[in-house]
Amino acid sequence: MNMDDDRDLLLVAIFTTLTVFLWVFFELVKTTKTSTVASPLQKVVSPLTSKIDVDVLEELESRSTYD
Amino acid sequence: MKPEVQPSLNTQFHKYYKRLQPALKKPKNRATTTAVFSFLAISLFALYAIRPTAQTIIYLRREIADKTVLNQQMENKITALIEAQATYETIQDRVGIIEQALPDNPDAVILARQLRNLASVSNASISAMQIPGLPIIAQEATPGARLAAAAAKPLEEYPITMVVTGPYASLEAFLDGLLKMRRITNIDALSMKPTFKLGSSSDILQLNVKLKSYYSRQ
Repeated sequence: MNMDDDRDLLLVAIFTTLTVFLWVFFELVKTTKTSTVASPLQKVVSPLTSKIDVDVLEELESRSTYD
Repeated sequence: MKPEVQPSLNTQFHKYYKRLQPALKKPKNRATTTAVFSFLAISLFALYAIRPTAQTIIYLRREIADKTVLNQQMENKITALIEAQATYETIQDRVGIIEQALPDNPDAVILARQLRNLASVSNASISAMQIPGLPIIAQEATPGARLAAAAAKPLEEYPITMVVTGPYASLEAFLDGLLKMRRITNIDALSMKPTFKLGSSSDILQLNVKLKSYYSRQ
């Protein structure tokens, strides 16, 4: 084994380690960003307004039906 | 016949060891080999031990945070539903009005009858009315399809074209009644022109109205 071979092997090992660490890092970032709540459940818990516009009902009530 | 002797592993790879020994005796080579194998070991360790463990930890932490938020949202929704139920009970007897204003189905016949009655009350007469072909019951076959259709387009509309004749005051009353009718209709276009009898003019006017009516799919 000459010196060039040594250096090449070391570089390959370093870059392999670096790649693996980046891979692990981005996979962990993806896990952090991904929500664990299913989409249908998110729809179920969407906010609900409990107020009913009574003015509109009164306005409609004052109108004629001509039945 | 002499039996063939299988060489042992040591004997088999001895030549390789012999070739490697001088190289490994050099301190520089030993250091490089140690470093290379250390890096590879760290990589394997990161890939097969650290990654799944860290992933599980992060997933569980995220799940706890998500479930906490979800729990809060559920509680808010339950509170809102209870309030909505109470509000609904107070106006329950007036819910039918909404149905009259915006029915679930086209109810074109009912609308035509209402327009005829309105014309009659206004002392005008409808000489022509045109409504396009409409489904009698505008509902999908399954509840799932109904929900999907309602989400895609909650409000459907259809046009009505009609010709109303009568004196100006009657037509004015008719239009006024149309605007104050409970069933929601929208005037898209209208035009008015006098009707002519042979040789003389009359005070009877002809009103062409293009309406748009709506029905809910929810």
